[in-house]
Amino acid sequence: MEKKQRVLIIDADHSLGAALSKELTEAGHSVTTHARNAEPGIDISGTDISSELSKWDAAYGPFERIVFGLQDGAEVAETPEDISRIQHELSRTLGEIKAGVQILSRREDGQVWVLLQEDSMQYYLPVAAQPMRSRALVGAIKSLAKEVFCFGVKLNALHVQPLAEQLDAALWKDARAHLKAFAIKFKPQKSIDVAKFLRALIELKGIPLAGMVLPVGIGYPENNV
Amino acid sequence: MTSKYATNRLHATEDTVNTSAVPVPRKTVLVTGGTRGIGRAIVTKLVNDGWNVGFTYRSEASVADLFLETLRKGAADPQQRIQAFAVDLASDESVRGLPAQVEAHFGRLDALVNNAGLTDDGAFLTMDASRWQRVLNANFGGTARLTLAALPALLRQSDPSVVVVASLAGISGKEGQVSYATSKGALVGFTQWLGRRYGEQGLRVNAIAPGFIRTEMVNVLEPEMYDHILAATALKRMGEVEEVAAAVAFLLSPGYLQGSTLRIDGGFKR
Repeated sequence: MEKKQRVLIIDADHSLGAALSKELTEAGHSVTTHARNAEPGIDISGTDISSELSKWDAAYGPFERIVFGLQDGAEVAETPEDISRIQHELSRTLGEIKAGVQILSRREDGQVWVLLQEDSMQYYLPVAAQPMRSRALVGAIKSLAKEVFCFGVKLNALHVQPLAEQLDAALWKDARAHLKAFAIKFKPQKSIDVAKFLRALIELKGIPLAGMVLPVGIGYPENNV
Repeated sequence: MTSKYATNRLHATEDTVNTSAVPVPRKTVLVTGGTRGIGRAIVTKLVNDGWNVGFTYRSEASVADLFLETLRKGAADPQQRIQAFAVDLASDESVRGLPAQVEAHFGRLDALVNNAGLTDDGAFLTMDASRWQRVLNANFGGTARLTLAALPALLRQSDPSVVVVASLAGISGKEGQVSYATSKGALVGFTQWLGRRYGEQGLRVNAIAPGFIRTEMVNVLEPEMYDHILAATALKRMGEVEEVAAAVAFLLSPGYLQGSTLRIDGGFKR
């Protein structure tokens, strides 16, 4: 039987984070969920993650797996203020990933997963397109993974096509209706199915993945990395 | 049916070859970071291709002046105009005013080549946040803010174009270059975002991702420091700055590329 893991899910208030928490918990793993703002059913909250992570690790860990969840909202880069905001969020995320990697580098066989939004379907659905965040973090992850592999940390990303729960069913139906000729080429994936996939990866010991960006989706991720 | 984009292309072609009986204004391009390395080669190439060229530099006025003088002497057409602009891309105020300065000098701005950038390499796990923030601000923030500031001038032209000089590091990653790779990856994403947002208005936006290119920085390295890179490159050699410049010139010419990032890497790891 696989070793039970202690997993921290950052931004677990997203549908995928919630599904992953449920899936891991049901499989017997120890899961700590985080959200930026306090919410029912969430274990810890806070926005200064890079500073707080050590404290959370001491209180709820020691963690062996850390998952940085999907973010809501499409990126907008219309004004200098938008650019500053994106820049600030990128910087903050780098700090958070760095803090997560630092914690796991003190122990063997750590895994850090960063979930990124795939956005090929934005022409048909109002998905949370985040090309700057996604592409920037691909560069970051592929670079940092090379640096931390020798410390026993495997840093990877999932590039996730929009999830069924992210949009109203009617929107999915309309999109499929407009793409009749291609209807078999895409299908809304459920958060729980992606969560099962990620659980399987999280459970693997000595996973043969580092600095990888795995595309996840059914049929339509043309823009995957 | 002829689309408005096809019409734009025809106008742009006429502008370029100047076949009209009525003199057509020469197109103007602004290149950031134009005095050294890849930027210098881009400026040289575009001057040779007949563009009016504005280029920026941050602090080395004497280098910029000398380069400007060389370019002006070498220009085949005395009507061709070339000008240098001192700009710190990390400064919002400086960036905001630049497109207007260029438009005032040349009368128009048709294209923007975002080349300027910096790096601050080192082990990321021990790196202070201020270091990666500086790289993000210069490479991503400065480039994106300048592009937004230039949009009104660009969109007044019939076939405007933006080329972003990203890096292979932003696509493949590079150990010791987390902040640089992040900033260049963000530029790849910005290229996609901008291309989607303004494509319908005729703005073409693309990026290049140079791999291992022979520049002043590389010239000081010992071969054993980069032999492994050349060994993993199908062409078994470094790229030359002129080869990067040729790709930029290609992306500035009318075409169907949009939101793409062209790897100029000699077949690195492929």
